[in-house]
Amino acid sequence: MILEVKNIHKDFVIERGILKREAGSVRALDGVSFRVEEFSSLGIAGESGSGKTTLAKIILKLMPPTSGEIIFDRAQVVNFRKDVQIIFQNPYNSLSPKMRIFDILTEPLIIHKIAPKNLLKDKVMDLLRFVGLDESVLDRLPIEFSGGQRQRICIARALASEPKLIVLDEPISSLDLTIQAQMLDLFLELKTKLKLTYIFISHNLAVVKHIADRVLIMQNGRIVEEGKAVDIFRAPQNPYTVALLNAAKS
Amino acid sequence: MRNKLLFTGLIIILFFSIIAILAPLISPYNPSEIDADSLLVPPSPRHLLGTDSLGRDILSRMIYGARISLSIGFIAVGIALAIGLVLGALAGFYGGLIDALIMRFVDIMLCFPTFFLILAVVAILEPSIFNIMVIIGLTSWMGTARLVRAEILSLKEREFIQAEIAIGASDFRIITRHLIPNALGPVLVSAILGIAGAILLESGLSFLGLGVQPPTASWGNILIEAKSTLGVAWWITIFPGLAILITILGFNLIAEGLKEKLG
Repeated sequence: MILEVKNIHKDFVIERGILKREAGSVRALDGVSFRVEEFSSLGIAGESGSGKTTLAKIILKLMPPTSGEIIFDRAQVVNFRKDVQIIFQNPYNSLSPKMRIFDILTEPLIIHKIAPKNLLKDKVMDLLRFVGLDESVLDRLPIEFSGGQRQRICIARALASEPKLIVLDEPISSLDLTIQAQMLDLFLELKTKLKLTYIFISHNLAVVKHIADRVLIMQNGRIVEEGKAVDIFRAPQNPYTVALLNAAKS
Repeated sequence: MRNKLLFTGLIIILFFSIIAILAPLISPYNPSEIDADSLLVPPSPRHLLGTDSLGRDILSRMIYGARISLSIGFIAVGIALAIGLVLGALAGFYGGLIDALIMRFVDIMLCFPTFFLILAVVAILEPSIFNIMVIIGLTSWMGTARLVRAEILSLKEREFIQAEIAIGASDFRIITRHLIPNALGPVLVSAILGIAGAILLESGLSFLGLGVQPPTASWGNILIEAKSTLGVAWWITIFPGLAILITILGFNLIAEGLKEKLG
């Protein structure tokens, strides 16, 4: 087990007026608990607003939970910011617009002292090869690339720190259909090659089926069904899961 | 050149900057040289823009004055920009108590009528060129701070900043390498308008006798002379006034052009 999520709650407070009086709150996560095994890939599915992205941000410590605990296995996650990475949904928004690709990719290498200065370029080339890009991208700016290429750059950046666990938050839903399939294959290939653990978040169960061994189904901030991917797709127990499956088929 | 505003503004400012830099080479007379034989001479081939009541050449005084006026503008805004960027970035990035403290300090500073604050400070300290640059800088950073804060508040929520946090970038790295470079566009526009403001402020101060002190010439203090001789020597008023007007116009054109260019 690499990660245990224990009874996470998250409330967003709504403030009103100039005195910021609490006018109520919205419960985004309501007692979410699960475990992630090493080298596995956990799929999290649910409609928009079910709390998937909030959960991803809390796991990455980009947002504090209202209550609950996120426990990483100390033996595997030694340096949290190095060993746990995230890939966001929107690659158009995920790269610093004024930086060249080379600088974007060397940042994690420099921050975590992964490669000495004279080997930075070699290391960046390795990363680009992993994600199927070549040297020609190095001096260009993010704006010069398509969505699929940008997402590949985001993946390369996430891989740069040699992480063990990667949270993929709807990583393909803003891409063209033809590119979606390529990206899924890339994720599977990288997972075996680099011995990664995935948490794969998507609203599309067909995509989750392709990549996950275990699946969580979320609705309104709760887990409504959990189990092995094969079981859930063969015999879903919860009516909400059935509805999601039907939506994915059509 | 598609952006006519920017181009025209740049030409104007470049023209005055070159004059200021080359002052000792192109100035026909020593700007402080008193010539008792040619008091209040109207514009003529010997004195292109005439002389003042002490017989000093107005053109030469204006050429040297450009140095003082422009450098006060640039340096004062440089100081304001530095303070505004740092405080605005800290307030926007950290939020909470730090934000509240910095922004209330901004509010307090904005409550003072700047001009009278400067007058009071100059009255206590001596009105040297250095003091004036620093005081104008210290009293005109609030707009920049607010602008930077607003930019950073919106940039902070963008995913590329979240991604930077996720790869373990330090706050310093995120602020200096990712937030400030992306917030700089609108800040630059307001800084250029700020230069125009600083030059006007200096002229006003000098006109009141609390700015740059004679015999050093600045566009503002040439006008002090003009006040007492307005009826007999129109040239002392018109030419420095025009120089100020055109320079301010130049900076405003650059700012407007940049705004257009940055969208």
